[in-house]
Amino acid sequence: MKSPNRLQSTLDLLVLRTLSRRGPLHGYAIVNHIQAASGDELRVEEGSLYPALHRMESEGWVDSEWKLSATNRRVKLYRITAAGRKQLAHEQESWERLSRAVGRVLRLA
Amino acid sequence: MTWRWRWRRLAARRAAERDLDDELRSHIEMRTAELRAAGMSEAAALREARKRFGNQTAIRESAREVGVNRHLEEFFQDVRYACRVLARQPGFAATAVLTLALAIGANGAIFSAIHAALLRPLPFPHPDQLVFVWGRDAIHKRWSLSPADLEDFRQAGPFQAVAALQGQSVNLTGIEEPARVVGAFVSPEFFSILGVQAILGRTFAAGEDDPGAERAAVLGYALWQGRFGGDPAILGRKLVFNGDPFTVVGVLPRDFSPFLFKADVWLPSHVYPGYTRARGQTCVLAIARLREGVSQFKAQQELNSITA
Repeated sequence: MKSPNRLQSTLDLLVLRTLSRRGPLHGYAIVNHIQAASGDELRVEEGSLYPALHRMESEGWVDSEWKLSATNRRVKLYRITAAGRKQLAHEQESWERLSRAVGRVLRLA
Repeated sequence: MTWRWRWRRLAARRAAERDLDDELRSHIEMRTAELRAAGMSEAAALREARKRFGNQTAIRESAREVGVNRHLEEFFQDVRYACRVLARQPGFAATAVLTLALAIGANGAIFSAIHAALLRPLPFPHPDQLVFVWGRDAIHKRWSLSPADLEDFRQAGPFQAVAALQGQSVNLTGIEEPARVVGAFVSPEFFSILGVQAILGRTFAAGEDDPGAERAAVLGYALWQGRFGGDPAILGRKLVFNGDPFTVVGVLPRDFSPFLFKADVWLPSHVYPGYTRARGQTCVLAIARLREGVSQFKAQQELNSITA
């Protein structure tokens, strides 16, 4: 399994999680969803989202399709793939491990 | 085989660029609409929507800038090749096409420049009036022009001004360490079209591209700093480019890299090696500024009537 840097894989985790929860979404909706779901704490920088989406697409974790939105706008929708779900499970596990470890240190240190 | 493969790769890359352009545009539109709905003015909403793309874009841009410069140089190389080898039939510029300078037509591979333009307007006044003018024939959809073609457009065209741009490396000699530097060859209007002023001295004056005129050179900031220690006494000094003396009349701003093309020295068009006004020799990239209130569509119609 590839292990990109922590920041990048955290962004991957957030995006993959969002797509697995909410079904196919376009980039704009992904940004809005992460911001809302995090209680306004996390604002994904839009300039890093698209490179990340395109990278994940080339990894085969998401695929994409142009569609017309409800408001009649052409949008590119991203959908999580089976490989993406695997990656999500892996990322999530490693995130939880990290956050447990950090929590322990904070309690004990 | 190789050809087919190269073509496919190019086509795929172009498709990917278009795809990303569309995607970013759609994102910016949605954000703008949201901000408009929240009561922001159209202009402010658009600015804010673009701003939210953040520094990441700037970082990607600067990382690729070197590559972009190389691509424009490759384009000039192709042009030179065509000038030497193809010896095109007269009447080549049967039609002319306009493209917004925003969309950099020189090379499909100029990737970041397109995004830079999309996310951040060109750093020139009224960038929507800036266009490239291309020749077109049965084989080439966009090709460079001859200086004589440019004259036609100056006479009757829908333009405030038309300028020629060419690029080729030049030898700088007569100093302690001779060097091969990146040269740009332009008509005097080039700088006024872009609304750029020298930070020291001046840019070219009208008529300074006449073969009879005294030879003048405008230095890029990096060359001025790197080779001459930023010495203001550079003005009036004679430097030897490609074996001929030129008087330095000015220095350009540090961030001046039109269409991400960075040149060390700017020289008048007519000193371009092998300069010719023959119509069959199309070696010049044309950049123009549209007249106030003339749309790209209208300008294209006028051009069609001239070149038909």
